[in-house]
Amino acid sequence: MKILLAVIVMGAATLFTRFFPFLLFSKKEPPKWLVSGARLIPGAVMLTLVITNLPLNISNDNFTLQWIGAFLVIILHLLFKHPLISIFGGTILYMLLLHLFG
Amino acid sequence: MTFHKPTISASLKASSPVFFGYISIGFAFGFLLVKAGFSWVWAPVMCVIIFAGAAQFVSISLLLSDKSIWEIGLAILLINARHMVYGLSLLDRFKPFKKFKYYIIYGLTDETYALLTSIEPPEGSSPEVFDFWVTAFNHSYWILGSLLGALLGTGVSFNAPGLEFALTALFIVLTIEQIKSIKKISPFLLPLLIVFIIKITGFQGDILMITIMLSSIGCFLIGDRG
Repeated sequence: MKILLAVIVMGAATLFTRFFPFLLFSKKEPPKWLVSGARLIPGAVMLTLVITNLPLNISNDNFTLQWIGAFLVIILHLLFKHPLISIFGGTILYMLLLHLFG
Repeated sequence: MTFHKPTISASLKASSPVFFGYISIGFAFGFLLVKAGFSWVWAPVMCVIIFAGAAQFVSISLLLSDKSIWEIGLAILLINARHMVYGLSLLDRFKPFKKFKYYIIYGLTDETYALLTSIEPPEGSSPEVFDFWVTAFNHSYWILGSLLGALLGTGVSFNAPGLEFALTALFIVLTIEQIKSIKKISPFLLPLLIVFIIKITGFQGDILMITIMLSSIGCFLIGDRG
């Protein structure tokens, strides 16, 4: 049961990050590099996920439509500043584009 | 004291802004998980055990890939790295907590963190019981949303081409939110540069894992200087 093991490992990884400060720094101050590094990492990880989810070769399936969809999500998010509108609105628009031109 | 009515109703009210967010994002998670080919049972199970928004969405693609369990664990660890600093601002608040302390830390999602750091428990309430109920309500919205999404995804047989784009959209939104809160350019230049180098050198390998690893090391090196 690979999925069960994977779920347990993912749960343990999440648990570790949440308990980490309480286990290590309830008595002493955390080092500065750790605090500032841990603040920066999520941004780098999120952008990596965006880049690796989008097609990077022009020969990929729906290259243009996916990039248009991505820009629509950015525009929706800058306009409405509401995550749900950006995610679901962008996805519906992308599905529509795919239906029309895909 | 655990079932102190004013405390429960105050925490229910405090958690209400998270309700719609968790129900709908949880719904999307359950739906996508089922459409990726997994049984609906895994949606609530993952929401109980993992209880982490972005990480759970990433887990769908990780589970579909041929990555090892350890690579999956490492990816989740780095995605959740921000939690390693969240707790720091709650050390004092949680210090006197007893029986619910571990559950509250376990359920310290972005949204729970935001609520607990901005809302004070009402007069006459135990902060521990209040924080416990806020966490438990949020957790239950997340589980309920995923269950509804997974069941609907199982029930409807229609294929929705392009639905998987919701993941990309979610990551774009999270990136924009990170840009707004970090207000620094270097953590975003790092992965762009690394992926660019990987692409022009024609390096064959796991781009996602390599980029996440190298960028994380870079983030620790940059620290406050970025």
